[in-house]
Amino acid sequence: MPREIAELRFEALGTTCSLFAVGAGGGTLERARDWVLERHRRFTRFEDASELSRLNRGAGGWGEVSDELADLLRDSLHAYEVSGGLVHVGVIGCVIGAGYGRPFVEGPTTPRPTIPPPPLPEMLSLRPGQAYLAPGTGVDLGGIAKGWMADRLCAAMGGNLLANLGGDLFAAGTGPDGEGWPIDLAGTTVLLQDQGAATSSVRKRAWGAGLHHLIDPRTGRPAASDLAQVSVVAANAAEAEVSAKTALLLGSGQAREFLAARGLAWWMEAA
Amino acid sequence: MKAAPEWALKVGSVGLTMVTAVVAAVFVGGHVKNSSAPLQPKVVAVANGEIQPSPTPADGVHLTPSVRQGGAYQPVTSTYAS
Repeated sequence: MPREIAELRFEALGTTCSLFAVGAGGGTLERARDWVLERHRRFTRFEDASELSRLNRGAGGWGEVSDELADLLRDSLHAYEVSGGLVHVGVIGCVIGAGYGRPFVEGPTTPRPTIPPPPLPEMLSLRPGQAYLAPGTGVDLGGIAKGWMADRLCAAMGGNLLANLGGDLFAAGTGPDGEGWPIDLAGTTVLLQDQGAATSSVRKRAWGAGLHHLIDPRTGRPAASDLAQVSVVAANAAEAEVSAKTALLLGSGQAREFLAARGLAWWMEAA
Repeated sequence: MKAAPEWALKVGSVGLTMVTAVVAAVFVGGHVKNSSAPLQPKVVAVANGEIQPSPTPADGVHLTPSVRQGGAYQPVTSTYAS
């Protein structure tokens, strides 16, 4: 018999987040929401007081970072490596140059010419408790933080929990019926059990012809892929997010090979 | 050092040949190729002397054994674009 699902929706990370739990005690979802909101405040590039903004302001020298920010930055370097340089958190100058210089709901900023960023390992270094950014560079974690948070949140809360942070989700446990959490993947319902899923798209967060938030680090410009959306199911949300973004940037020709080589489930939509 | 007798070398070479043949037969038997299996990707046409792979549509969900379909269930959420 299906068990009752508790649900909580809220706005964070510039998007709508949804949390679902089965058999959780009172206050579980509220604590999970507060966990997300706290990390939103720490890792947003739009707040001067955030830990990330402090790191970016200190570019050119070593700065103290929390264990969690260090973990995110380490994952960023890993994402850069596994994506062949396509998932690059150092494209912040290009994102702003394309017109995404403030929270999306406040509208675009004036576009200006930019140049592609240097390879991430040349601009970001880590050592215990500290991070280094090359002078004149910065990082924007918007491209990988949601998947990272969905995974870490479920691990921190435990139990039968589904965290969907703007489409990047992790489904922990066996779901309401013991068969897995039923998730809509482009019109097909799939049952996820301790698995993640994510969608990368140029249809959302777009503000003009060819202007959107997904930067191709090879050009420093919004990606001009023949794909508009890619969804991926993987072992966790972070892997799904990185794989979906990589596939979209690769384009339909190479995306299938990339995803098939990793044994991932996917859906893609042509531009 | 005393040289091995001629008969021992002959017996050894025959034995080694037989063991090799048996091992090869077991290996081949365990890796049978199906000559009628479809080519991957499927070949649908030969145009201008070049083999053309079948087109793969951009749309459509491609699942793996680790992802089960749950058509009987109502989805609780979607991995929509963020």
